[in-house]
Amino acid sequence: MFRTNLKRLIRIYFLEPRLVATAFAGASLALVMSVAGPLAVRNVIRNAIEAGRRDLLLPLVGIVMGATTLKAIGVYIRKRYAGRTSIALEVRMRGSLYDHVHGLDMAFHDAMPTGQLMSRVSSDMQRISHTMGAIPFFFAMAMYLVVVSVILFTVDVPLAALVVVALPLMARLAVVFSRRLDPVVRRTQQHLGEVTSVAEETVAGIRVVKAFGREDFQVERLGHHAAMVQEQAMKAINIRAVLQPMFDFLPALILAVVVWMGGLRVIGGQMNFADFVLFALYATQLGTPVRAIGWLVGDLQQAVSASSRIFEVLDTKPGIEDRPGATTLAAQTGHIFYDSVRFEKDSQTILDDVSLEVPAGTSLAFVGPTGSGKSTLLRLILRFIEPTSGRILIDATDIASVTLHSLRIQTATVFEETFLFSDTIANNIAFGRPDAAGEDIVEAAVLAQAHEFIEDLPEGYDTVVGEQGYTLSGGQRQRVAISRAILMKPRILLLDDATSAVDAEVEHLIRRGLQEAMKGRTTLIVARRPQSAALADRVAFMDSGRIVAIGTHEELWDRIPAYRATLDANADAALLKAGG
Amino acid sequence: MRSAYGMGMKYSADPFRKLGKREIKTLMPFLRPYRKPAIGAAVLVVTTTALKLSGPVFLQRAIDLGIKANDRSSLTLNGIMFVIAAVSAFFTLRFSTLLMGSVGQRALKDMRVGAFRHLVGLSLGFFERERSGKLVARVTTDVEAVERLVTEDLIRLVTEILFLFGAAVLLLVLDLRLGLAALSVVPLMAIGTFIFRRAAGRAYQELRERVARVLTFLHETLQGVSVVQAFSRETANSARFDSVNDDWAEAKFGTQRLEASYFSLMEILGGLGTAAVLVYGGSRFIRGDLEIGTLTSFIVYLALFFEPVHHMSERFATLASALAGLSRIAHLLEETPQILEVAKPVDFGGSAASGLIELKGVEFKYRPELHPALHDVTLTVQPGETLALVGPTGAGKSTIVKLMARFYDVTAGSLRMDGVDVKNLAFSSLRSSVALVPQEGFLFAGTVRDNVRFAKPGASDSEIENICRELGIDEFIRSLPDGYDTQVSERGARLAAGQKQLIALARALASNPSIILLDEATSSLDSATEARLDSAFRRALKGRTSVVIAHRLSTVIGADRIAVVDHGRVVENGSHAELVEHGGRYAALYKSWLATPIPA
Repeated sequence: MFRTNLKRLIRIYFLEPRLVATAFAGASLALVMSVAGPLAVRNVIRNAIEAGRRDLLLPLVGIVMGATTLKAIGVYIRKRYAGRTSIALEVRMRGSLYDHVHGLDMAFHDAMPTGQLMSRVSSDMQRISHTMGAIPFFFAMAMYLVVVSVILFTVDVPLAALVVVALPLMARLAVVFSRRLDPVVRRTQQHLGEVTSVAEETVAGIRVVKAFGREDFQVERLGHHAAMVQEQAMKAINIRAVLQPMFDFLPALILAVVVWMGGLRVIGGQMNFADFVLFALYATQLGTPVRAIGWLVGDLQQAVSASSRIFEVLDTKPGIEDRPGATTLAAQTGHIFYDSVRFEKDSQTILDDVSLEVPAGTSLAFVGPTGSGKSTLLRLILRFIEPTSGRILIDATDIASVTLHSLRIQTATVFEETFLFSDTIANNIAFGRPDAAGEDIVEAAVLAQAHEFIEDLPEGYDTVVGEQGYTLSGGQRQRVAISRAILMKPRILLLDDATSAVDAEVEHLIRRGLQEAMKGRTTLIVARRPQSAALADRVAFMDSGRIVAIGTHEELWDRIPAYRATLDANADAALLKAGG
Repeated sequence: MRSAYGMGMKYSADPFRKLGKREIKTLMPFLRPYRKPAIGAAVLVVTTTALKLSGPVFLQRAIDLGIKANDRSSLTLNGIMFVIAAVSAFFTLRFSTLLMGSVGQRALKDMRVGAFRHLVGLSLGFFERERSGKLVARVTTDVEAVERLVTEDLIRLVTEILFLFGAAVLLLVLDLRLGLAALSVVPLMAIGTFIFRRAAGRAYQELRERVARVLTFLHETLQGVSVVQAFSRETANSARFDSVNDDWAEAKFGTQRLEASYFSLMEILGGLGTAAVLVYGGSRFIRGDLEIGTLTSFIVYLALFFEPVHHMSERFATLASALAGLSRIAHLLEETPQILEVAKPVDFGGSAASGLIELKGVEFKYRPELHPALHDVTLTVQPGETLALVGPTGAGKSTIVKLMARFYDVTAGSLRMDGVDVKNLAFSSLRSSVALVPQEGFLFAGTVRDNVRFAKPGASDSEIENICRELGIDEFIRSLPDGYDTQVSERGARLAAGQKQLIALARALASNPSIILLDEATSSLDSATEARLDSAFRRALKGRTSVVIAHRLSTVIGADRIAVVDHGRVVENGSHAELVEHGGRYAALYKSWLATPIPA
């Protein structure tokens, strides 16, 4: 698993071959020059200073300077291009994740909490791009160690052997520690998530918290998780408090040994002084690369496990997508035919062999107790779900054989819970038709009885609404949603009892809006109240996944006690008699 | 038409301007309780720096007194001294990291909890003004931004700066003229750093804003994904996301270019310093004016000296986001609660109010510059009476209820309970007398039991079950997957709106309040729940003063009295029969209700 994901990550990394190649070229230049730097310094000491050649001093120092400049250029190239690689990858992966998530069916979205997906797109993605951006650097560091080891061996074998033995030990140490750090970091993240949850729900339920005077209780709950964060963070610090001093200490120790043994060898005449300085200079620079390699192992592990969470989403196939050879649903009249439709979910029968015809331009309401399958019939039309058996025909075409896009642009839905985007009212209304002209938007709003209140808003149609903007009341939001549906000029209109949570006067307006929207369109309504059922030409009364009766609202109301009882609980009619 | 994704994320222009005086002021109170370990850590940090600096001194002595003088014992001695210094530095660094880490973590916990405590203490008006996402960020991401600074980078930054100064002094002491030659590049470095810091402040801020925009856009798409799919907007949305994504990339390019430039510039300047030492020191050695050991240790020193400079760009990134986080936390802490308990509040003792509510000439403005939401409202609710508030959306019904719960204070007039102005009432008396049931039936993550117990901490299981039995919802709760232990939250069982309200109602009754404020739900419910809700309401209101924002005619008719609210005024007030008789607004409303197309 780890291996496959790693391979896949590497393949993605090389999707930007030019950027990667440039970054590696820069890294190599920097690497060669940082190895050459101390050699150039040795050259100055040996051939100019110790040799007393003042005339050579400037030119040889010029070489040192040249090496430094080239190293700086190499580092610049490496940083810029490694950075561009990781940015390009992040943009690409995030973009494809976004596109992909869009296309996944509602079953996926219902099961996956938003917060989960968000953290995959933000923190997991960051971890990957961070690690990928650092790859050329790690490459340079590893090569540096190899090259320096080789050079040291050519200069002085015993001393070099000593340094080279110490390096893998240090790298190993870094790996061990970063592995130990990994679970601690993960647990810290979990507790941080809990802190966020408590804060989120307290802010969302602040009225309840305040109404019951339970502020302290919530503070205590958050405090508990904050203490857990602190505890885990202290564990991490305990590990770092060994690791960091260790990586200062070990290179210093190597340096000390180099100076001591090297010094003895210089005194003994087995080594010349310039070589000694070279060793000392390399020894001071060993800490960084060794540490870096240790971190790479940890980072890479985290990146791979982060990538597995992202790949999991990317690999989820949409349960519903265009079939091979899917055709375009031609815009015709909007005649709907449910042909022996069964729908099962978790081995429960939701719809049991439903056959039903809705002639073009007419409206039909579904009434029935919770779980009788009303909403399922609507979701089937949108192909948010597909029938277990049977088929649905629109204008005699099986909707399973057409593209999702052509199907959905011929329908417009007003959902039970109105969702508006953080955008202007105009853009929200034009959501299904982004190219709609201003006057069309206004016309739709007028029909939906929304125009008046929109005009009264601070910036009219340009008022920003949604999570980030102006707060509309439930009834206002619904009318915006109805405008959105009207503007689509759909063949088929789907209404999921869109008249909840408003008072009588507003409901009256909404009903008028809906009547406008329904004119000349095939309309399916999930009705939970008599007012909504009465909107439709005909009503299908559902129970346990079957249609038990069909007729006008008045007929059913008179004829079927169960129908009356279903709507009664919601209705005020019976109580009206009692009260009035 | 303009798009508005990611609105409302304006930060102060340059987080480095005035180097965060206000931010430090915010941070200090949280660090103060731990000043002793912090001072200990500081001492250790200085010691570590000194020890690290002493290393090259021993190195130089090992070269000059040992190698050059052919003195093996001196070489060994100085080598051992070098190791001792390194070992000591290991321990001082270890303990300073531990100390500072624990100080930092404790301070951060205090900050997290303190900011949250402050937040929940603020008045409802504040929550209604601010976006909830932003408020949550104050105790989460903003504190996390400070975390890296406090627990890791602060100590590194201080060490590095001390090291820089220490190394500079040492270089000058070792050899003044050579030291000056080596340090000649420092002014250039300072200028480069200054320019970088200014540019980076802006660039990092821009980057943070664009990251936020990407995430906001994504979050919204996920929340509205059914709308996106139903309207087949995937392609257009992807194009918009691409452009938001590209904007982010551009900002990220910017910060990376800055970092790369800074790093390379420092590299070159460091090289210049080394070159200066080699040229000047080399010629002095040739003249016989300088020991080779001094020259060597100068070169080693310089390598050590420039090391921290390289890390400066990373430190600035951390510092910038920490300061931005701190400034937002400071902003929150500066917010003062509007609703406070008076110095000597009236306390009803353990008992609840009898339930008499009197509003006299009440005027209320949500903000001083706004039109009043209520004008001159005078209204009395007798103990045990049920008052239904009816009227169009935005008429002021909820405002009246919010005033009764003292979420807000009246701007003129008075609101009394049992003859006591609510402003003078002890919070504890108010909370134990009044219970509120919000329309959406908000529940917290946890079990049904936890949620009922929320209003009466310490209530026993049987007490909770009794309350539910009295309400007639015991059976319903037992029918849930885990009965009273059913998890109700995003992760747990999904309850219908009406079911949530039933539990919220039980919660309200748990504290046995004398006054119930009820925003009745109208959302679509199935018939069984609906019937249960109706009878539960009736039982809950019995014997209590209740004020109901009524959406259903049954409640309105069943109420003792009805107040019709319109444009912030009570325009009619009386029993159902009286008002129908009167033939005013209510009578018209009643008629329209009757006219709904239902065959009678």
